[in-house]
Amino acid sequence: MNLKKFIKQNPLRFYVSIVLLVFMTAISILVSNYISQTLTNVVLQHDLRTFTFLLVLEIIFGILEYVFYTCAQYLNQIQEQDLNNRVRSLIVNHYYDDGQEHKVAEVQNRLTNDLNIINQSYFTNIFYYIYGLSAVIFVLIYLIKLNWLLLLTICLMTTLSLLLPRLIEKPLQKATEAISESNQKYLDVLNDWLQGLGQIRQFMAGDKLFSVTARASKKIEDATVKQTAYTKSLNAITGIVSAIFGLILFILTGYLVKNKIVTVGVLVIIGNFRFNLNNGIQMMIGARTQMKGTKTLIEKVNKSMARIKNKEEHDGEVPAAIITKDLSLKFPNGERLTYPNLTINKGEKILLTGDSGAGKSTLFKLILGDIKPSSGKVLFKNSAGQEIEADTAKIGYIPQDPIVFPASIKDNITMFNDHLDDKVEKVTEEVNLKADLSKFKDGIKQKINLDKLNISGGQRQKIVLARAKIHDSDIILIDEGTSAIDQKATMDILSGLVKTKSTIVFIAHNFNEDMRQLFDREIHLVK
Amino acid sequence: MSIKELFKVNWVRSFLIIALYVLYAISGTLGEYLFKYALNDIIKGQIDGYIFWQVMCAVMELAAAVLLPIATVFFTRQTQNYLHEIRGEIVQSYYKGQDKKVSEMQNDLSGNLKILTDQYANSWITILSALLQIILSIAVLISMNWILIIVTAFLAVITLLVPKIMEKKTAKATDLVNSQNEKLLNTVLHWISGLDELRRYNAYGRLSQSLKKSSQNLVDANKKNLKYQALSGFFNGIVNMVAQCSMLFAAVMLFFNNIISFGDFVVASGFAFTIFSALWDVTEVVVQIKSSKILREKTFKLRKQPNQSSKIYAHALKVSNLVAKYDQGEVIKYPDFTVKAGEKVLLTGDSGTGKSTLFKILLGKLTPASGEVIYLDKNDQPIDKNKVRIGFVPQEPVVFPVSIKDNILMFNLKLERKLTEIVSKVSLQDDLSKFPAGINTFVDLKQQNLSGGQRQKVVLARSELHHQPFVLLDEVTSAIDQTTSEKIIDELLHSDQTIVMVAHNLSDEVKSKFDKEIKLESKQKED
Repeated sequence: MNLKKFIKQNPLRFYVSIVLLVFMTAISILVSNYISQTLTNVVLQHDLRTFTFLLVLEIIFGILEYVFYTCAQYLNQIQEQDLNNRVRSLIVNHYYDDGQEHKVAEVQNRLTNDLNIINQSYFTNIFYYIYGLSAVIFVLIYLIKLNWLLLLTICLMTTLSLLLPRLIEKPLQKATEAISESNQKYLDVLNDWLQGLGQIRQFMAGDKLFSVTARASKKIEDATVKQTAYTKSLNAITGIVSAIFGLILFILTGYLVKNKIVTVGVLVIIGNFRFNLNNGIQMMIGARTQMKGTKTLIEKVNKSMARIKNKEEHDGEVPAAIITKDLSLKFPNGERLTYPNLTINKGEKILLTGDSGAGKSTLFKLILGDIKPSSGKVLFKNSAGQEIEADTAKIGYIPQDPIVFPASIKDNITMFNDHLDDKVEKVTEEVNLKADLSKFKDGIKQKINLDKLNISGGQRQKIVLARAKIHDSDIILIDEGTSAIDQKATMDILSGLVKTKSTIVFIAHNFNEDMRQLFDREIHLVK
Repeated sequence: MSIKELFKVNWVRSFLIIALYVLYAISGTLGEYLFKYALNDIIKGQIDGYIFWQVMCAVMELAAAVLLPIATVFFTRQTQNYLHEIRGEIVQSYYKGQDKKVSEMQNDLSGNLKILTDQYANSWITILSALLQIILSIAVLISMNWILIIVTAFLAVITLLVPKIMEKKTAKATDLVNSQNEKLLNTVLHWISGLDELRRYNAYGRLSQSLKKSSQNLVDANKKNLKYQALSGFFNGIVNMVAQCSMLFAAVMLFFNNIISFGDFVVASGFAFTIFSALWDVTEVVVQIKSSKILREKTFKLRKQPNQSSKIYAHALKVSNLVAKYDQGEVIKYPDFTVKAGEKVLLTGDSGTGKSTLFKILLGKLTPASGEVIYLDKNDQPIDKNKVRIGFVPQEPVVFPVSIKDNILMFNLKLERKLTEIVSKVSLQDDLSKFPAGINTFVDLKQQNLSGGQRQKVVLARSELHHQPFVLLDEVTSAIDQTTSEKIIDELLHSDQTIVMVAHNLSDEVKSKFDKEIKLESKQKED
């Protein structure tokens, strides 16, 4: 995200808005001041006719000024929106391609608050910077035509004023960053605690909820005050300097008027120039400082939307058998898991059991490469029995908390791959989902509503099982895939599963004897 | 959010802020006013008098440059403290009230409040500042000639009526932006939580599509809002300008008729500019305040604390003619049943037969289409539906980012002495011994340091520790192995609590320990 990209979004619109802005400033400074200057002298001469004529001109130009300004600002702001739209797309792209885990709150913040901050603190400020710059330039042009001494004095003052922001730059940048950080942490805290609101109510732990959220909100509030303090300090310094310079300027102009080098009308508008110049400078300084203050945030966002060059190449072969050697994992809290050496052959149906905490789900994550072991390794063989570099994306995996998406049940099964449409019916029969489908008004086209949950826990599991089945992997890892499904249906589903050619590893606790018999063997993990 | 409450947050600071703004306005006004004496002197050629008055002007400007930033920082501090109170009240009312989507709550507490601060709170300070300037400017004009005031007043009325044109439209547009922002947050929640799954199945297309759509909707809403803001700004600006010129004309007439001095004439236009500029600020800001009305009312409602009547624990219940209806039209008819105090009831049924839904109805989270539930207290007396307290352990174990100990105690230290006993009742002691920090281990929601089964045990321990007379348990041992599950259930069956438990795949031995089983059948089709 930078100025170039912003312009590229719609170059015509950008340049039109800049032109409008510059014209507006030209009218506001050159035209209006010239009229005022002349007007004052005309009034001193008691010339009513010329005065009336000049007044009418002022009205006309005044209206044009407003039209141009409003349009320019509007165009600038909608350009910001278009850029946001595009950037969101790129960010989602990046988050998908980078293969990393992304917390929901972080993504939400990135796509909304961060972009809003960048709009207000960066792009809108480009607009104000140009506004200020135009004002300054036009003031200088006017002064060149007016009097060299005044011009030089004003130029010197302006230069000195521009050096002022350096005093505040770094702390302001940090302060702006701090707002985004504390905002995100706040959203995180809200997410972690409010998702358990039911439990908190039930056990009357309201006080803890209040204190935790209060602490997090205090951080944003303090960060906001701090940033305002830095911004306003800059304003104060600028204002003081401006007052002193103004005095010098007026005294100089007074001497010029006394010695009849310029007219009295100039005295009246030199005040305007001071205001316009002061305004223009403050705008430029303020804009530039805020823009610099947003730099860190922009860099963060740029990283989030950079195109991934070396995408996860799915180079590996399709694995059919798994071997683990000396596998162990140390957790950040010190807990350690050690696994026996395992050999899972092609086509085997394995029941994986063990006490809670023995590492069954973790074993799956190690096989899939989602977690790296502290020692040991996982090896794969293809269907010909040769050791290979495996493409773990080709391993079917059903996690304990299966995710479904706000789309139709059919789409949730095929995962939006239309090529699999003709297999859907068969697969729904195999997982005993057909009976459930008849209960839905739209059957398999029923859209799943994640806000007002319209499917039961068991139905969700069946959908996810169907998803794994339809994608025909040679290895399927299932973590508690039938815990919410009743016995009879589970039996049906398992019978179907063990008949397939795939290698299956199934974590379960609640299987009866009949179900266990379906498997080739059981691996039991102990803590 | 209201200005009265903002004031009350800190009376002393409020008065200090007002005092600072008053001083700021006075010094600003004097800075302009004293210029008239300088002008009158320079026309007469008195350079010494001119310089003296210019120095006085500069001193006033210095004061103004320092006062405004200080006042602004104090105001920001006050506003942020006010927000802190508001946030606290909102969280309290969530706690005492109904369930809401987490993303909605997040938006209520962060995004929406920021909008309110920008549109409402900051607007009032602009009004204060503007009003002070207007009052002082009017005083100055009256000291020159009463005609100036009449003209000013007339033009002011016109200026104030103009904002009414765009009022309603801008309020609606702002609200639309809000709701689209929330929808985007929701879309991110639903899709980004399943990022791994989407990657596994190369389902980028759909992810991108859904987010693009939400983003586009937000962008469109923003553009509409900006358009209305631009239009209203434009109208206000035009009127302001025409008013100023009329003022100029009146002043010239007075000067030509020798009623006011030249210095008066020049400065009067300046004060006219100040008045109309301040009026314009007020009108723009009034539009902003009004457009925040809907959001303000929403926030007020959120802060209202619902009447919290003391709740009574249910010990038994009776269900008759209960019928639940899903959104899609699916209907579930429940058998009539009674659960007596102390009874242990097993609730079974195929997936989709409405077990979780029944719980939702019993907890008051869902209104049944027909039928009723009667709750009885310990003396067998019926309890008002709104005062019922009933325990619930959900299917998805909810844990918080605090220690395991606190997760179980839910911050109620009075129950600490029973902790060890409960931990062994849910067979959690072996798991705890594997953690170096034992029961003080911090639960990490990001790194998931507890397995599914361990989380279920923690949540069960939580429920048991608080020994509620009536508990509903939904698949609470689905991730725990058979032996341990049965042990835990056995312990539960030995308590004196009334228990209704949903479970699958229990051995016949365990099933027999229940007092009775309620089996939900697949529903009969609606005719």
